[in-house]
Amino acid sequence: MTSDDQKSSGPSRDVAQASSRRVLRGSDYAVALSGTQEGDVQPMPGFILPHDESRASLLVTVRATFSALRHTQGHTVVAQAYEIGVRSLPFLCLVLAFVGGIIVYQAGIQAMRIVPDTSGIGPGYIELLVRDLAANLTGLMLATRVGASIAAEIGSMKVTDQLDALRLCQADPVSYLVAPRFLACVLVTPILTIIAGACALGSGTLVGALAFDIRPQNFLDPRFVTLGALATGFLKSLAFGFAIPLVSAHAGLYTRVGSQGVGDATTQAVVGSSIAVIVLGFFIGAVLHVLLGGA
Amino acid sequence: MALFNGALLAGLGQGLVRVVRAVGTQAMVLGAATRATAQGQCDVEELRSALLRLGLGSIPVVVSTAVFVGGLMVVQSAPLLSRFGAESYLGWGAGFGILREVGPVLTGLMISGRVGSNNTAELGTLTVTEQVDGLRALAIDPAGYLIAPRVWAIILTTLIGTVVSMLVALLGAAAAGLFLLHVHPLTFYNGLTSGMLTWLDVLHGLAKALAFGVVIATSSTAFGLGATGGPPGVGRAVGGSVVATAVLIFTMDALVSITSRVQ
Repeated sequence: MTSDDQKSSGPSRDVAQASSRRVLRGSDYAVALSGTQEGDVQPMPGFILPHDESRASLLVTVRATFSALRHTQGHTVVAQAYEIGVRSLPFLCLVLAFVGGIIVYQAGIQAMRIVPDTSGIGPGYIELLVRDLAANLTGLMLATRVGASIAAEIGSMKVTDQLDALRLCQADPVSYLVAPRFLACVLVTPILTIIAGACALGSGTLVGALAFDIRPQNFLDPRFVTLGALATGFLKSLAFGFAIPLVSAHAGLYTRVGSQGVGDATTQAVVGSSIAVIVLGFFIGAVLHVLLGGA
Repeated sequence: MALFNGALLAGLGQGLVRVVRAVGTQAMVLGAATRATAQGQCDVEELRSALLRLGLGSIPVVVSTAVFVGGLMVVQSAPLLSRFGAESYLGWGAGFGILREVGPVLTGLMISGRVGSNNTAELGTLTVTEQVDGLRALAIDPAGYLIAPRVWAIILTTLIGTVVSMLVALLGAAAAGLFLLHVHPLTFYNGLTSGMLTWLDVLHGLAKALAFGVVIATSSTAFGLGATGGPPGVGRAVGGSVVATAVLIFTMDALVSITSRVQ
């Protein structure tokens, strides 16, 4: 129902148009609501999502999210960055500090088994941390923490019909709910990786000093850290930042209605994004290892 | 000091109360399961169906994770090994990591994500729809009918899943070593069985798996039975359970690693 339609009067023409008109789709409602000209039809991204959910696929959600990025408001991104970033920080730092300490402890025991030389532990650990460990573990923990909360939030809105309410208010669920979470996660994940990695470094140094008498000056020796290692770590954290919100939001958007639906969607988000992190981590690590001339 | 104002102290106190309450609830879940089983009230039919549903259902996730975890271990150790030309140690390095640390921890995390959150979702649904009260009204003890079968099924699933994932991860590591580092599988096998790894290392991994199984089972059950407020409440319970279980898994990991000094 564009403004052209409204100008053209005459009942017979209207009837003819109505009868020839195909079944209304989402984009038609979008045009009707936003009232733009036929020429510059910009269907609102939320309506790109298929209404019959049998055609739901992750690809559709990804496309809808990317086309919704233009409509995203900055302040929602900031709010989500706080929610995702700052609220996850204590959890992340706790876990990474534990893991860092354990790894140094186990590596120290192993090193003692072969040669009683602890000078390689620190540099080796720092390299491992920069290249793989910080990004992989942060990714896994974010998949758990952020994945579960995104799917639970969007899923609860779905089962209580709040997504439809948003559509009625001409606020598109994808650009209003998914895109800010996506942008915030992409921005925040590398930063979180660095902070959490620093926690693991600190606890590793502490364990090294307490359990194996490695002096911190000798432990904190970045001689093995190459540019390639830094690039691998950064690329991984960026990839995880992309994958986690998309997989989780997808699970949330297609929550089945019913009391078990939200729980199932949350499960699916956690499992899906954890697997995405592990698989992406392996492939990025393997590809960069081959590209940077390891094999 | 301005840092220690009332709000911060109150926040710390609330956090502490939350942690103590969570741990206490989990101990009560474990106690209820043990009591019901000791009294012979653990529903065998429910246990069988829980094992099928939770155990078999998690095998694809565990196996697919394990393959990539094995590969990941090889990719992680590749620069170190090629720097020192120590390819013959690949089997030992990967085996050490997989058997003692990464195998149990990642299997625990995946089972927590798949089985634990499924358990929370089911129990949460039963709770918010007041079906647990319905059971009580029918004089069926929820401890024997709901709690005990699930707790034992999850602990057993975690143990078996860890063994499976150790084997699959070692195969994945051998494959990744062959394709990425051109280490012959026989070299990998020799490194693995060169005597630097003993059955104590496997036992260490299994001890961790047992601890993780208990944590996953009790935490997911406690969060599920504590769900309030309709379908969104179930979602919140699942999220809370997964996060709490992850923290507990790493805490138990540190505890087991440091208390068992296998030299």
